Amino acid sequence: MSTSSRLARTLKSVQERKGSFSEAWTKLRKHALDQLIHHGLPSFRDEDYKYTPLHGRWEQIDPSVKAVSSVDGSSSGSFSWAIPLGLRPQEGISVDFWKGSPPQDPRWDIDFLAEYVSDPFACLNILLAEEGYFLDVEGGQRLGDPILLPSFRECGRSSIRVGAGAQVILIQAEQGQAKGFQNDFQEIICGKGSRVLYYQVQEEGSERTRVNNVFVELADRAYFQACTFSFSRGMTRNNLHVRLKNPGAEAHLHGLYLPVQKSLIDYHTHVHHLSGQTESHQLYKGILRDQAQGVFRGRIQILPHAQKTYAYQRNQTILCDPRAVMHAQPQLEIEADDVKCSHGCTTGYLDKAALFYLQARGISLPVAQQLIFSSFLRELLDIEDLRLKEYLEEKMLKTLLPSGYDS
Amino acid sequence: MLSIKDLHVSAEDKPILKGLNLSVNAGEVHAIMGPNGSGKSTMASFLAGREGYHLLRGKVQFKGKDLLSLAPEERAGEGLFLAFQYPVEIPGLGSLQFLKTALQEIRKYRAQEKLKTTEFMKIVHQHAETMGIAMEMLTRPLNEGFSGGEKKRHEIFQMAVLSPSLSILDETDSGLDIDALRTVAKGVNALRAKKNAMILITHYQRLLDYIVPDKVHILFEGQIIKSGSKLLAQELEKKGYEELIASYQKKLSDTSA
Repeated sequence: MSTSSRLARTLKSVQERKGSFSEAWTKLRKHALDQLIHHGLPSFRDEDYKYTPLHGRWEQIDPSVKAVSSVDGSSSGSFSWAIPLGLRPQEGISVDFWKGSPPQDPRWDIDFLAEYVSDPFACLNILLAEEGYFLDVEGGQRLGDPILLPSFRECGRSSIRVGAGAQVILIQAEQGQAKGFQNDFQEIICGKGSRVLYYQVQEEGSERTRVNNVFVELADRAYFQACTFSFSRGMTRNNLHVRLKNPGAEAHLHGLYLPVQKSLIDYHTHVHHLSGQTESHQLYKGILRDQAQGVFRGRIQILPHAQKTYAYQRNQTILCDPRAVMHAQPQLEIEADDVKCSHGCTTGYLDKAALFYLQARGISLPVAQQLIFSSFLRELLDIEDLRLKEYLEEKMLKTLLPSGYDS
Repeated sequence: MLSIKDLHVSAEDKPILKGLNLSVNAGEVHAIMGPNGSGKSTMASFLAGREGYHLLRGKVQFKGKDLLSLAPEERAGEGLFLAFQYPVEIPGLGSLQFLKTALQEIRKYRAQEKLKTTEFMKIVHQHAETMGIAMEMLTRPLNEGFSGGEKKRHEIFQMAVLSPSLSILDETDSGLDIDALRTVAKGVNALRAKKNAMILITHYQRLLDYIVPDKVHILFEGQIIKSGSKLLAQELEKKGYEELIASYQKKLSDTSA
């Protein structure tokens, strides 16, 4: 079946989909559908999806599959210290889960969402989403324990609003899902002076394809940190779009990727400085083994009036195998003149001199490699939540050491 | 302890060592001197197991084992230590974590029990003091931002902690001021023992004022052309390499004639 007939089939089932949608949603759906029909599904000809051959994975999208929510709230698996969302009423937060059609809710900011229909997967999500939630963190609330966000099997859509001055730690973990195509959309609106730490842990199986669209908006003095740790074995595409709307807003975007075998991990970031006196830091580091592929495309956009803006970006990759491939592409669009910006991408093979130095001190090859890699990645593990840090450190070391080796 | 017999080694198809013979016994300190390009550093790196060299001929026995059949980490496990001429910076790797891993890996190789952290720290404190290494320096990443002198002192400190039976010091004196040289020499002398041996590779006689060798060898074009006592180094300092090499070449042409 060709890509276009697959698209036609998908769209047909979308059109046939029953459900009551609000007028605004209907408009948004129409808009999304028009976009998809006009542009089609992305292929390697599309700049944005050039290195992420998702076109071979369409058969995994099956709109006829009824969503089965993994939200049971009973267990949080590896993240036992975090509180699963909706498990029990928590002071200062309110959660509304929905299933079926996206509910008519004033919290959907249709104009805001309409700006993002340029991404085909965001469009598909608008058309296909069958489950999701609203999470509201009350202004001024300081939540010490991290909240474990639910994951969805196919096509989830969630909206998180953090009130003024509130503080929250969010963990989004994907574990043990071996197959299928997942296309999530998440919006996070950070209120004035709020502090939001958002951790993504991706540990999907080798036949899983995942597109993860996260849209973040920051008001005055809001502090947002996104750390995406990807141990995915399949194909993972992370789109992270951050809008710094008001002065004093500060975003830190971190990513760590350790793909093996034939997996592909792709980060597309878009940091949009809409206001002056805003600050962004991006740090993405990874190690590619076997025939794995990595993609980093980091876009920084600074509008003409966004003066006194700082924007930094760094991407560093170590290749362990001549077959491994990294595509790194910084993209700076700076229209203001009083700004401080820097970017740097490096991709290289493991430093043999360093390896020999460690071996000459009696350290066996696998342990020496693990030491060099973990030292290289260490700055990404500067995580406030110590239990998460411990979990990730262990996971990282295990991934970096060949199986069966006991250190 | 170490026996090198008729060793021929090439790098990038260029012969470097051309029939090297050397025998080092426990308790001895040997100095190897020679002009630039004579093969001193190749010898050190090759013995430690660095990649990029090709064995053409010869044998190296270390404590009765065929050294060249061992991986670099196995050589270290057997008790060989190379103090690097250019210690490598490893960003992000803490000195203490590195040393502890090295020590545990060596113990693992020798089927010894894991060392407790308290015991490890005791060893560290003891040797850090001798080498004038502040604990602050040990919390920094390995060799990152270290001065030339600090790097060399750190090498000898590592040597002290790992307590090898044979240490090869590859131009440890180069780039050191007189005070740093004294500190390094003090550290090295503290490690001299009846069961240990050392090979000092150096350009200058200066180091040998502080670490007095049992034997001195002159390496030239991949061969040892003259061996002697510590007096040979003094003679060399006075006359330079040229005269020595000239007399060696003369002898060579006499025998072939």
